[in-house]
Amino acid sequence: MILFAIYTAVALLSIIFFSLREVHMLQLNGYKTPEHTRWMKKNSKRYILPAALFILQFTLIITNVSIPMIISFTVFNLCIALANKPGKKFKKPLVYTARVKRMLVTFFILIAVILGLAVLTGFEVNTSDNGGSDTTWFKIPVSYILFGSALYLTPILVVLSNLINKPIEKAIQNWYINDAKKMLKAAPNLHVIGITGSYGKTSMKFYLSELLSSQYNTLKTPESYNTPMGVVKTIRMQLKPTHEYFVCEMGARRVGEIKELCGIANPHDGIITSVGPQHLETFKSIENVVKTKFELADSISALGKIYLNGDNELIRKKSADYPNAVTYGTGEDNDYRATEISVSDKGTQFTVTTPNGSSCRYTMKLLGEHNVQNVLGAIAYCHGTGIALEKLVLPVRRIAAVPHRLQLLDSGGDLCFIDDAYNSNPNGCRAALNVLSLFDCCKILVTPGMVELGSKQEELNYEFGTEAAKVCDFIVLVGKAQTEPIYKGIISTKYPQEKVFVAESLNEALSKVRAYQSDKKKIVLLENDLPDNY
Amino acid sequence: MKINLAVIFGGKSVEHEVSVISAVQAMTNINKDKYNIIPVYMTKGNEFYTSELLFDINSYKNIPQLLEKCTECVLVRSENKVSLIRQKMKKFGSNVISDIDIAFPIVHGTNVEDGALQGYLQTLDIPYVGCDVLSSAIGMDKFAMKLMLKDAGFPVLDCCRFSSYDAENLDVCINAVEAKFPYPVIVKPINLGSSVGISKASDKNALEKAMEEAFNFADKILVEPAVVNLKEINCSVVGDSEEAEASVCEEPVQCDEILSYKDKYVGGGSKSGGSKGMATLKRKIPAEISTEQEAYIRKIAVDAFKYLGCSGVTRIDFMIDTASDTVWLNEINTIPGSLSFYLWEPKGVKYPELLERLISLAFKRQRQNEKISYAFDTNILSMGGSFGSKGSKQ
Repeated sequence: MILFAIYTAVALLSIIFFSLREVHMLQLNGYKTPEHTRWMKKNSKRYILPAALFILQFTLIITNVSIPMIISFTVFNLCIALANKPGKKFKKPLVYTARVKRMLVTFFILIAVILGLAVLTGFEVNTSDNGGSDTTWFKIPVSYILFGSALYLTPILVVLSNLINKPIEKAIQNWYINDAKKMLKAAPNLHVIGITGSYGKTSMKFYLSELLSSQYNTLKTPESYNTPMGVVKTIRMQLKPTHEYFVCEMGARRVGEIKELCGIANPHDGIITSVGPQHLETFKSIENVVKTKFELADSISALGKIYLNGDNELIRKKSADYPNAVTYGTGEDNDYRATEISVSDKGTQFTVTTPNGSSCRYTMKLLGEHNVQNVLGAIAYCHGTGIALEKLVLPVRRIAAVPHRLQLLDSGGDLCFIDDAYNSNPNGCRAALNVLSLFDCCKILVTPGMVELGSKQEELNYEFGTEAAKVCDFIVLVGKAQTEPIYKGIISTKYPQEKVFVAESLNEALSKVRAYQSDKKKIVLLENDLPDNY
Repeated sequence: MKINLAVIFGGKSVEHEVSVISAVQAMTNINKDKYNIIPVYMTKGNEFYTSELLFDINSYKNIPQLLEKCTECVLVRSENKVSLIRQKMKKFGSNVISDIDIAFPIVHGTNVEDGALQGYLQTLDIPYVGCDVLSSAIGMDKFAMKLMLKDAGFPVLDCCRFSSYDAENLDVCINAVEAKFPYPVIVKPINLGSSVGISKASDKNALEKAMEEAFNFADKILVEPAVVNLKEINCSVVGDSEEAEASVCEEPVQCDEILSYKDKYVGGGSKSGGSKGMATLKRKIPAEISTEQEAYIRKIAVDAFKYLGCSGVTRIDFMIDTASDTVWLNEINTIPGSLSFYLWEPKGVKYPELLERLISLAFKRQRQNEKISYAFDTNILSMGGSFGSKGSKQ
């Protein structure tokens, strides 16, 4: 009896620790069973000990219950407990949301049922010859195996609890969704704008709400909230009767998801920033991406407008299908056009021309062609609501760049930086070089090169070197070993060797930059992250 | 989901009753499909009360009786919003009377219109209609207003300013006035609207009496030369520092030499008594002045409004010396009686529309304020180091 109590106590402790860790992982996997099972397969190491013990415990049937056996199982169970001991530091700790609590309740009901069965099966009544009877407790293996199984199968039981709770969770989510819809319905003067696109939708959301809020009380989905529950949460927590515009970012990984979001937010107008090969593993084909993004356009009534990035080929092809489409871009046949784009150490300047021919020149701190497109789209939308172009000059100038993403930093004097440290992919590097090439300055590149690009890393860095050589007046590479391919690329273009410098550290690189003599202002592109371990 | 709008009125001011009239008029005209109006009445002791009864002007005939039926309340900021809560808390149940999205102060006079109430609302960080703290304060202090406008080249009359301490030697004051201006002169409290305590003096005796009278109403007074061939012209301005528009001009008809408090609010003359406020005062709309003069006054009104950083609706009062056709900017009312709606109707702006414009200007200012960083997200005190009692000079 005591033995069983100790065994149960240790097993229960292990169950608690083990289940909390599993629930935590399930939470990180977004409570999605397929994704969680994929994760479990990838981390199958974790489950070797429980699986082995699960099989081993059946030997109890042959050997029968003996004290050494039970003690050794208890020790092993303790190992599981220790392996899953709480207190380990995670980037994102387990959050005890209402949903997690509900799942844990279901889980421990399952455990209680198993424990109950174990206790019930745990005694046998021996009838002796003289008619009396005595009870022996917990001598048969079934109780131990039952409760052991509960521990060893915890990962499965956690998933099971999640599945059991699914209808409840669904109902709760639906309640939230309906509540949000009700709130939107109760705000008939609120104008909702849906924004989607493979790239640039978060930037567009920020720019548009920045411009709109110069004239209207504007609500936007915060950060990069773009899922149904993210939108619902924004509406329920932040929507006030004073809001006049709601800028709603909409993200999708699968066909139908934009339609679902439109069903909730019911947008009056929409903006599609771009369509490209993003999330192809879930979308399967580029056609599906186009189809999904245009679910936004399909849900806009004839009274509303759908603003489309006309510079994007895939979008352009579809735009003719929508009579209420308004295109924007740098290309000639767009309704709203940005022309005469120029850059200087003050930022980007461009002229916007509206469909009725009026035009206005803007200056912004942001750099890069994609930013011109996005800000143009935001200007186009605002102009459509009746805001005069001139009224947007100041708000456009005030838009702040995202730190470390083509961020223009004028330190005064003869130096100006373009901080693009967060970028690390070949497309971004090309875009940054493209921006640098537009400056009428002494152009200097400082980079440690691209890392973590797998087998193509050397080749891509070499290419980066050849392209940089075409643009830059001086190039400073940081770290000798990993910039070797870039160096080779630069030299292959017959670039004068004395204009390339390999520095040991960023500090050395910067003092070299300061030492360069030029009669023009020096503009320095800081490309890619410069971590300590390179 | 309607916008919760608190109309705040009354208060410890000589223009208390006028404010009640202005507020009731406004509450009748605010679009009730869009706004849920919560009347907040400040007593003459500055206690706050709310009740549905406050919508009806007849309720105010017996104030103690009215207050018994009202709920005493207070505005608080909590959980990232402003709420009107019961002053005397119930033990059970919610004490929140209503959340407040925007405040609409319709108050007149010192202690309320002069930036005091505006500062309270600013501290609560709630959008509010009308001028901000500084422009309200400058608008109320006639001396500060004169200095600022004079500096920018606006036509204002020169003046002498005296405090009640100066008045201990009244002779010195009178000599100073006589040295500067010929009689007649006008004596007024520095910070009162609605003509309270204002009088004209044509000789030394009258001046002495006028100054004593004025000191009853304020700690500081002004003496300025009287415009002899006087024609008064008022013009309302709506907008903010970015964009402002002037109404038609009115010419109040005088009974007395100066438009007195009685004329303005009590002696409306007709049987409806004073309950119609500024709107029933005898006046000529539009004023009988030349087109050029009207254009000039309207331009100066708009420029002064923008220069002083006003917002919402104001009424700017001018004086014309008809002998020389000189125009003087006399004073600015940052919350004019009846919100000057009667000056906008001739321009085709209906009162509900005017109120809507004022409310959206309040939201505009709030949005602009939100774009300015007033506080840093990081807590400097959490960054270690020992600041201690020695402060930063270590």
